[in-house]
Formats: sequence, C-alpha cells, structure tokens
Amino acid sequence: MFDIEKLEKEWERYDRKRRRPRYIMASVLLLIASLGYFAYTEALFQKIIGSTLVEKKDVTQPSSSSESVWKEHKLYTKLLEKNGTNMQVFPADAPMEKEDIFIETIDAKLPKPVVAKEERKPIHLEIHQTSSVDAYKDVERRFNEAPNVEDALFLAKAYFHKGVYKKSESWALKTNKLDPEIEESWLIFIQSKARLGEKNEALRVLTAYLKQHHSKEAEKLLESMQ
Amino acid sequence: MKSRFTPAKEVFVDSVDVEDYIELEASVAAYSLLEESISKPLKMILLFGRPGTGKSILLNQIATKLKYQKEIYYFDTPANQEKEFFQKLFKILTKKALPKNTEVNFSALVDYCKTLRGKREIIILLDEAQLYSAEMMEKIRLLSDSRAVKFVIALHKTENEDLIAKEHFQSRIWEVIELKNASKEDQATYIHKKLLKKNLFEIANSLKKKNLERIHTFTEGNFRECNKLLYTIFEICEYYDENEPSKVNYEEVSQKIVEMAALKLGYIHV
Repeated sequence: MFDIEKLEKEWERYDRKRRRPRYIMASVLLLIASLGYFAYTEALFQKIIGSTLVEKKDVTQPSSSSESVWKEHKLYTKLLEKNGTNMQVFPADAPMEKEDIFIETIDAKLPKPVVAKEERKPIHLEIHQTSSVDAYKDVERRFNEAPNVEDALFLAKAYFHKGVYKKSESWALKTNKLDPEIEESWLIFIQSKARLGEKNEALRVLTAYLKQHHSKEAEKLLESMQ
Repeated sequence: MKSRFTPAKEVFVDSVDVEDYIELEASVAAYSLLEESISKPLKMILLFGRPGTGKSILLNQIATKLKYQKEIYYFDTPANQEKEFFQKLFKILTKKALPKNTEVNFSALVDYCKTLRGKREIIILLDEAQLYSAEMMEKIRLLSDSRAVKFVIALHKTENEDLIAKEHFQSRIWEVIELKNASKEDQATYIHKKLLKKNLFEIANSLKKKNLERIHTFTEGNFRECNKLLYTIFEICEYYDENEPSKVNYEEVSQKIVEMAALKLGYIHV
C-alpha cells in the first residue's frame, strides 16, 4: 500500500494550485465591481450637485438669439421706466468681462418692441440640499469654466434655501443674464431682494414682471409681499 | 474483514482474458469487421491502434470464438528468436513437432504452404507485431503469399510502425482495421459493464457522471489507462474503508479520490 498521507498532502497542494486562478479571477472581478461602484457613486454625486435639471438645456446654444434677448431687456427697462424706476438689466449673451451694469433710458420715439410669446416647456427642478460647502464651490468653479443656466439656477435656489440671500440674489441675476425667461430665477431674485431689506425694489421688479407675464406664482408672491 | 472495494479493485486488473471482454459499440464493430475480413481471401490484415485500445483482447476474443470453426492460432508475444517462431509455425502447419537438432528451412516451409493452398486455411494472429524484426516481417509476408496462411498483424500505432507497414506490406492485399480510444459514453459503459459482470451494482452506481467524465479526461478513453486508474481509485477507497471509514462515501466516489489516483499515476501533477 502506498503512503496515503503523502498522497493526501499532494492532492491538497494540487487543489490549492487549481483554485488559484479562480481566486485571482474573483479578486479581479471584485476589484472591477468596486471600481464600477465607486465610479457610479461619483457620477451620482456629481449629478446631485451639478445637474439638478431633469431636462437639460444646451448652454452653448441658447434658446433665444442674442438679438431677441436684447429686445427683452429693453422691454423690461422700458416697463420699469414707466414706473419711474431704472432697473439694472444684463444682456444674456454679454461676455463675462462686461459685467458692468448699464442703465438704459428708453427713447420714447423708439417703436415698441413686440415680444413674441413662445410656448415654453415647463422646466422641472429638483433641489437636493447639501451641507457641503465644497460641493457649492465645485459647482461655482464649473460655472466659471463653462457658464450654464442649470448651475446658476441651482446655486441661486440653494443659497436662497440656505438663507444666503446676497448670493442667491447674485446667482439669480446670473441666471437671468443667461436666460431671462426663467420665472423661478426672477422670483428668487425678487424674494432675495425683499429678504435683504430692499422690499420696495423687489415689489417694483415684481410688478414689472407681472405686467409682462401672467404668472400665478408671481401673483401669489405679490400678495404675500403686500 | 474484506473491504467492499476489494472486488471492485480486482475487476480492473489489466488482462486480455476473454472473460473480461466487454462488448461495446466500437469493439463490436471492430470485431465484426475483423471476422468479416478473416473470411475474405485476404493475405494479411492489419489491426492497429494506440497501446491500450483493445487490440490484444480483440484478437483473443476472435481466437476463442472461431477456434471451432477455423484453424486459428494466437501468438500473444513475439518469439525471442526467429528459430523459435518458425518451430512454432512448423508445428501448426505440419501438426508435428520439429525433430531435435534440426532447423526449419524457410524455402521448404514456403513450398509446403503452397501445397496447402485450397486444402487448409490457417489464420495466425500476431500480437505485438511491432516487435518483430524487418527480416521476420518480410518472411511473414512471403508465407502469406502462399495464400494458405493468413496473418492478422496487430501493431501499435506510431510513426515508426506505420513506416514498417508501408515498407513491407503496402503492395499486399489486406484490410486495415484501426482501433481507437473509447468515447466518453463507451468508456462509461465499459466501466459499468465490468463492475456489473461481477455483480458490483452498488459500486457501479457510486461512480457518478462527473467521476466518469473526469476519468475519461485523465485516460483519454484508453482502456488500459482506464483499468489502471480505476484500480487505483478502488485501492484508495479500500484503504479508507479499512482504516479511515469516515473519509469514504459509499454512495458516491468523491472527485478527490479520483484526483488522488490520477496524481499517483502521474496524469496530473502538483
């Protein structure tokens, strides 16, 4: 009879050797899965902080042409002028360097611009609050690298909810510069102004806005402010 | 007390005993072909295949089955010397022993064979023919030319042996029968039939499909290798049964034991 113990040990070595590729394969798979999970969570995190808009808009190609935006700004200014107030407005397509606020007096002789009312698709917004200051900074950095409506609006809303009204006012303004048709940013702008103690100014902007837009939200806000 | 695995182990002792012959689809086909070839007026029939494919047992089987119908003789191992071989042949042909201190005159033997043509038909089954010298093979060829003696030559299939076949027998009228390793199914049938022949039903059932597949992988369907492996498997089972019964499963032979046997026989290495 042969040495069974020796044979058993030999088999154990053989079995370990045979299983080795399986362990390696399992480890590799685990590593891939971990990396995949990490990448997924990272992407999810970026999505949460950076892309709150469900329906994305291409910033590089604004929905309205710069000409129409200019016209709209002129209209706002004119409306406010009628109320005896000069309003600070920003052209949407103005370069970032030209952030200086301009005041334009409407020439009465100018023909009244006709604003074509476009059917706008409702933009659904979701706000995910985060306490991370770094997260806001990341979004701000991203906005500075590539200005876009989504980031600006997100920051406006986020700062407004956090009670940082100076910043929410500023970001709402930046949003309006990029797309003056977003009602939410106008309302944040107005509310921020009101919270900062500039209630009259806020009311004036809101009234002017309401003259151009029949918005229930804006009306509600006006009621609450009066 | 004798282990239940002892008789199973003994089943797989390698032998060419006709009693151990197992009819399989492939072996039945080879047998029929060989039987048919023998009945044809062929001078030589070549039976070849790798070692352990069942050539010897097939020759044995045909010799046993046809011994009452034909003059058939089985030469299991080649004679050490040419002299010995011709003495043996002389005895078969003349039915007389060669007188002492005499030698067979080959030319006279060929002439004698020629006289037997049409009167007798002698069949000589030469196993392990690769061991015969080229000179001997040439003489065998000349004897077969007499048409009184038919030779069934069993050769191992190697490049060298194929060469021998080409050189010596290419121009002769003959039949070639090749035996191959068993398929997975044939080998499984072979193992089961061997065990069942000895009424070892439980042991046969304890060899599961996965065991049989592994055995086929190790032995590549070679019957001799299969016998060796099965013998070792049951030898290990027998050891455990007698010394460490907790390590043996009577319902199912464990793959570990199959692999241990394979390790012992060198089919696998650490």
